[in-house]
Amino acid sequence: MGAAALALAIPVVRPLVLTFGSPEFFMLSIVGIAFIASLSGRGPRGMIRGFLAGCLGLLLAAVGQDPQMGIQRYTLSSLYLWNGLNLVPVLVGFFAIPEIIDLAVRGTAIAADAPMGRLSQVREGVFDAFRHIWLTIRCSLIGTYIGIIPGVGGGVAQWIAYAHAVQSAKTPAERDGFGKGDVRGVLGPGAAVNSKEGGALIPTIAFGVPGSTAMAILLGGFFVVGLVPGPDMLTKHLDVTMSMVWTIVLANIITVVVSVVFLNRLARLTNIRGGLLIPFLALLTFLGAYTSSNSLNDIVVTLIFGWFGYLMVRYRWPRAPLVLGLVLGDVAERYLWISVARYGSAWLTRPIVVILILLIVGVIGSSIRQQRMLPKVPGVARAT
Amino acid sequence: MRRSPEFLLALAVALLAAWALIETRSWSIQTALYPRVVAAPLLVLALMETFLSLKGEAPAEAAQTMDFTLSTSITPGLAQRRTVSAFAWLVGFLAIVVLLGFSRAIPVFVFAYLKGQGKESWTVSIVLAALAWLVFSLLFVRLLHLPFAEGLLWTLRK
Repeated sequence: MGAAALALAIPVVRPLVLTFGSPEFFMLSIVGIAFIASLSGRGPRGMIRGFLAGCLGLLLAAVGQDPQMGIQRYTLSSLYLWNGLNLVPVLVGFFAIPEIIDLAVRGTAIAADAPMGRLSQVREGVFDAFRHIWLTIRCSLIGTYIGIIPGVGGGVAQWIAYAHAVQSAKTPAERDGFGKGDVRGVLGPGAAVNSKEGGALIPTIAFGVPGSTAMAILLGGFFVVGLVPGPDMLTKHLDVTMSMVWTIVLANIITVVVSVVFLNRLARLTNIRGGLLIPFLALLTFLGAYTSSNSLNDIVVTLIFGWFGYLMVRYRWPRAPLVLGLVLGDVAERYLWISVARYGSAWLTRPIVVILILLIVGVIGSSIRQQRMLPKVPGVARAT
Repeated sequence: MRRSPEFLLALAVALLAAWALIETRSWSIQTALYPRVVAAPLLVLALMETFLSLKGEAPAEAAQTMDFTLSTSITPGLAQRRTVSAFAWLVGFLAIVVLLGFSRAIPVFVFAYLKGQGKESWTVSIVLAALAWLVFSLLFVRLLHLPFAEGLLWTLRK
């Protein structure tokens, strides 16, 4: 989908992207967080926790030197925090440590007593993509569009696609299946993440605006070989542009083949006893955190966020909005300051900003309406 | 009214937001704008959550659709003991990494965990500890040439 979008969208996307200024990009970040926050939990209380987590993530992104003036913010006089919180140790701790703790508490293998999958189930997975073809296409379009927006990134595309897949569930029972094995929870984010690269190539090729770090590196490569992004890429160097389209298609095919070949072997790892896996998982967690900047402080950050992530899971605070806030914080701050400096408070009255604010209200309203339709469920038994 | 862990968690976030706002007082508008725009709603939301936790309303099922849930098949007392134990092992791993450095801490931790916590046999514990060290040395040190700090004990001896 991303490759097709890249091929089709280049001539028409320029006016669309050029209508977006800093205020619109700032509001898009807020829309992303609002979308996830409003879908993270049931009822007004769940929504409060979702927005709370999103704001906490945005605040954590403010740690470090202020990008405008270079003044230290919330660094606790620590040199390590001058550059802000490193995303890798935060995410590694936030997601890996609660899983390790839960594995230690259960005392079983990751798959517990679940039977091993077979290759025939892989075939079923392929059919599932066609059974839910419209969801796959919609989430691909979400991924492509998020990819076009500079700086927003694949993580956002995955979460928004997941939220869309949850929202598209028709009945409360269907919605409860997400997170418990409903294949649409995998199809949506999978489609989005595979499409976003094609989307990210659009502004890179058309305007020389890289949509992600990988695209920035690619842009550097363009200049090394003498290619200049812009109209030339659609006329004189159209062959290079089309070769990128086909590279995306081929890369996806190769990924599928490699995954099918190694799937059963990888799946067997989930049947190893937890007691044998935990020291190796802890080792990989620590090494993953440490190698991000070769500092032991990274491991301390991992443990702190691991502990906080565990508390959030235990007391049912959604983690996704916090992660999204942390990822988007830098972009949001940059666009917020440019908007205020350039337009004062008038940026809030720009037509697309007003539309995006209404979209946020609509998302919250729609989520509340859907949640009112859900049956009242008594409090779930307290976890561990 | 009972001060539940949810209440304490929400209160901690409210205090963090309040501190974040207070810190911005001495900053210029350029530096303070973003933290204020973010911390003010965070404080309001955290106070709402604190109030609701204090009132003891039915818990929101926030983790049901967007996150994984912790296992409920273990009795709470045992689960709490295992949770504390798992955290203690991770903190202990960090301590021996600081003291001994990665290359020595890895076999020590893997062996100690497998033998002490996992109750594995001597053979399994020793073989897997050696394997962990070998993979670390070959992949991270020899192949990737990543710099790993010496442990504090070795640094102080020099």
